[in-house]
Amino acid sequence: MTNLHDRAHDCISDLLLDQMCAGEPVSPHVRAHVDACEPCRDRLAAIVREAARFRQAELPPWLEARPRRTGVRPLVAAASLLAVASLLWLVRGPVPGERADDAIRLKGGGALTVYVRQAERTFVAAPGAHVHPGDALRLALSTPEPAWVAVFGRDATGRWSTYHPMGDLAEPLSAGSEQLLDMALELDAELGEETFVAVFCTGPTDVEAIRSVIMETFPILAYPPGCHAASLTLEKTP
Amino acid sequence: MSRTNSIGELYRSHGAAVLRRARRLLANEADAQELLQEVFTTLLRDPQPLIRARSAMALLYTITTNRALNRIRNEQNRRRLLHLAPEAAPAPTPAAPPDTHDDLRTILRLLPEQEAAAFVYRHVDGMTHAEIADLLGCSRRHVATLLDRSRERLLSHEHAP
Repeated sequence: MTNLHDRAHDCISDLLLDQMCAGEPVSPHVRAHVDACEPCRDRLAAIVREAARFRQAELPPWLEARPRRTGVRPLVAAASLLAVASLLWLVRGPVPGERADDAIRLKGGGALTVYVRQAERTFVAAPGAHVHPGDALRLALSTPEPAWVAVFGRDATGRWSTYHPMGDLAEPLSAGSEQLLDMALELDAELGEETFVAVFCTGPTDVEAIRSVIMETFPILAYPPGCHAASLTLEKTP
Repeated sequence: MSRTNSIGELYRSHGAAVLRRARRLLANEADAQELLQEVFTTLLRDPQPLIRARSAMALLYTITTNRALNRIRNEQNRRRLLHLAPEAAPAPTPAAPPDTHDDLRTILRLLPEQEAAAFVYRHVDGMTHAEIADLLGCSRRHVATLLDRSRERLLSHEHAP
């Protein structure tokens, strides 16, 4: 028999943790509780790990593209699709000059994991996690199939940085889980939101081309054809 | 972006939570996987609820819970129809939350649909009245009423001869 309870009554619900994990907005007091409550932090970390594993699995066949149905009024269909897209946190948006049908979707999804070293503890950052100036970060990427990758960051002032790679083209990454990038970051004193965006492409795409598309479309985040992305926003507090 | 791709992205970002919830309520891996597919194919066919939802995760919790409860009820109905109903089990004490999936099934057998959903959100998920009200689309006062009624129903069953 499985026990259905795995948390104390004063802790927050799985729904709120799942909303945090999926990047949906939650109230500041929920974040504050998670920051202060070790059991909730552990539960959130477990949920984040579980979600990362799930994302790496192949999409089931019943979700793969199907032939278009006929008889749908084009304007109604277009409105529905736009509305659905706008609801999703990470969408691959339109790119100038590209028709929707030209889009190449990578099979399987890449994932970004951010490890935070804070004083004496290290943890996997969930979306919206509180970090502080001086914290050290390591970034890890997961991809179910080989991809060319680039990682960017946006600080609270809106300044963008390219964290990986150093060269002009996205760098190849073999298939694998949580592969640490050969770099570490130390957070500066600027407070506010820190966003990390990892872009996974099917070919050696120009890093500046990716970066300019992301900068122009933030926070919707559009990518060049053949690319998709995973992103994570942290809250830097004193 | 096609509708399939949109729901595919939603599946990636929210599917793990749906599957965990399905496993928790159904306690059966095959049923949970079926329910996961059912939830997302429903949205593929008709994404309108997503368009109206304030939170995709809350919507998916609601759909998963309702469909899981329906499955449990249907399973019980099938057993009744086939005269294969299990021996009546005593209802768990309503003051205490259900500790096992068997308890949960027994409780759901006794409660009407909305009370059962409120009971699951409160005693299985430990949600606040405000969270439950949000998911059920009703007032906090109504949530309290539903939980009171479910408690009375379970108490009366417990004390029935």
